Amino acid sequence: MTESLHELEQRVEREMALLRNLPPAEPDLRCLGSVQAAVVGEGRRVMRRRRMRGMMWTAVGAAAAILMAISLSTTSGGSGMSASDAEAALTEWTVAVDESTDRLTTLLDGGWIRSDSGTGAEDDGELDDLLRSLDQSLERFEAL
Amino acid sequence: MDEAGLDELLHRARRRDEGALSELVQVFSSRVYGLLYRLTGSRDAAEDLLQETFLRVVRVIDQYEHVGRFEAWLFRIAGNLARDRARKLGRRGESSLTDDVAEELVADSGRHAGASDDPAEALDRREAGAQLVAGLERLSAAEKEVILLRHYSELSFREIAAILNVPLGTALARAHRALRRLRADLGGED
Repeated sequence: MTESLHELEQRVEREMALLRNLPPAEPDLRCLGSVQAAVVGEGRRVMRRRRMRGMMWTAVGAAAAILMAISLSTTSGGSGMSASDAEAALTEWTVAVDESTDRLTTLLDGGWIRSDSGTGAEDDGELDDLLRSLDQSLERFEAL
Repeated sequence: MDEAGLDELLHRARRRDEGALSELVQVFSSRVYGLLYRLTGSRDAAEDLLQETFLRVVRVIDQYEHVGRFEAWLFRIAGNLARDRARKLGRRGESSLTDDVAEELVADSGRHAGASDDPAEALDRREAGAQLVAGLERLSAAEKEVILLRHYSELSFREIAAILNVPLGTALARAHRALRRLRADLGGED
């Protein structure tokens, strides 16, 4: 008679008791500490990349809004540019922004910010500078 | 750790709370390391893969949906990494060396099993442990993986079958075959 899967499972579960005598294999404290440090560092990097990506999008969005407003005001102000020229310029500009954003996203996703070999301290400094400069750019946009 | 405690820990880990990430390593590292060490036979490899497992957890924990058990997700990552390593070693024509295991067999396979007050019993356990370790090395990679996953992850065979992407019957058959061979190695009936 063929044993049902359920019966086989119960039998194998009972037989698994054999592995109780397997000697324990545990990571030592040095290994544990090193994994914990690496994991915490990676957590920080993930959060920083996420924050940075958010700021990039904000900056790109703000720049888009400002340039669009400038372009529209130029068109309506009798600069001589026709409506179709203005539309073409805007489309061109939007494509350029999309491409830049894609490149930024690729750089971020590809680990441009991340450095597995370094100590992390230099990367942290660079990132902080970058974030500060982005903050300042946004402030300038807001002042316009 | 109970389910509510784990839920809370994972919630904090998704925000990359540093304490939660450390605790996650603390809670699960022994079992994951045990699996990786027994699969690779190398302490260095197990340590590297343990770190890589948890780094991946941190990177993609947002993608983890709490529909199955966290252990299933975690041990799937660890198992995949160990399999990738074995494939790479195989491609390079290297065998998965088990110097550490050999050393363990000679030196201290029963070091932790000697807690019993009865020296004869401790000796029996030590011998059984050494035979088990040696027996595991003689199993096929697929047989070894299924019983080690069951032993260390504490997942059901159904969950393990899902991790390995094989039918439940296949996972059970592999485990049954592996255990029969181990029992024969230990001198039990076949």
